Amino acid sequence: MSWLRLSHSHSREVISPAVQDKSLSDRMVKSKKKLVLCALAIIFSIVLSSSAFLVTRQQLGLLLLINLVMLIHAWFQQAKLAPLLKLFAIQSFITIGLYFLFYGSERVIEAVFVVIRIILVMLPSWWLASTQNGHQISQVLCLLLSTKWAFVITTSIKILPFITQEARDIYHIQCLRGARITPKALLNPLNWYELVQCVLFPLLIQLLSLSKHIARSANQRHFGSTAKHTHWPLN
Amino acid sequence: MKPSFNLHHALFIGFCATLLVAIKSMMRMKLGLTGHSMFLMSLFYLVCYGATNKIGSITLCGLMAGMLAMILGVGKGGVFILLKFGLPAVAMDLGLILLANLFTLRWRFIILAVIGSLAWSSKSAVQNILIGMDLQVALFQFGLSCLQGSLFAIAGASLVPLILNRLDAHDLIIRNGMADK
Repeated sequence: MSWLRLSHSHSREVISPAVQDKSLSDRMVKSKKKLVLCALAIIFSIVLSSSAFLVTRQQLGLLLLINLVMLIHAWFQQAKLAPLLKLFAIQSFITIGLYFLFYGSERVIEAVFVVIRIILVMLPSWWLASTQNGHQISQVLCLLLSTKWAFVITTSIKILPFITQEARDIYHIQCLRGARITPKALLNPLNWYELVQCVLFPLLIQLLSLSKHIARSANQRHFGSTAKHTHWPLN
Repeated sequence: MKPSFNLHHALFIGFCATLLVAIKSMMRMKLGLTGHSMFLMSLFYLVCYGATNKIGSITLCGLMAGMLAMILGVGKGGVFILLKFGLPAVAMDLGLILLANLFTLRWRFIILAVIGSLAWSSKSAVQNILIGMDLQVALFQFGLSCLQGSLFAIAGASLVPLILNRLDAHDLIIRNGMADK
């Protein structure tokens, strides 16, 4: 049996570079397809949202059906329904409450239609955020931007964990130095200015000096000297 | 005035936009007041303008913030968040073009912040009217959000000169052409 195993491994080694090339090009085609799908999804959500403004009341039913399908699609992709429900609750409370305040209970039906339209405007955006991940949206957006701004966006996203960690560190150090910014002290609104002064100002200073360093190092690596920007295309 | 931004300023604008989106996503429902987003927006947009002293900077900061919010899926996400961040920024830039060097720096910031908050509340008012909300209700909401937004925006704008003084003290920006008087 061992000679069989030997020949198998040998044949695997002979075939593997070609197989690797094929899988690489496969992956590139698949990622291009995902990019096109993402761009189409963005356009689709824009069209749906703006049509929620423009359709007449009779066609609202059809629009509701399409949005319900989108809701189910997003729910199958483990999206979080909580923000949508919160929006629905708050909007209906405010709108119906205001209509009631101004007009009594005669025009509440109209208020309900208004709330439905508001939800229909927001739902495609929520669907877009739930079904497409950020990588694809950023790739579609980077097609529209020049090299410099695409670099800025990718750097900003990458640096977000650093920013949050830095904010946390500054907060802890300032608490140790005796600043009145513990959660109990923050109940007093007079201490909010101290929070801004102790945490936000140093954070902004750090960000500006960090941007200076990153810009200098990127320029010394000849960033921006080629016209087409280079980044890894595969997901 | 150079027409395009060098990488240092572009990165600073991007980082300000990132901080804006991050803080906004953290403060989502903690305070529960409408208009607190206007405080953050006016603060960061005016800091961007103060640090770079160029007319396109606020629009770029707004567009960057909108794109980052789309990518990171903050709030409800989607394309409308681009409008939410972008419209006050464009309005502030237009106001800046009109104001040029008219008032002192502090008053320029306050006027720009009020313009931004007006644009922000009129965006939701136009959206409400297009949906078919009754005119009285929409105007009432417009007035309320205008008032709250302006208060927060002025609070943000009054912090900006302090930040710019600190940045200048750390020798990070060069205040040529941005005298206080």
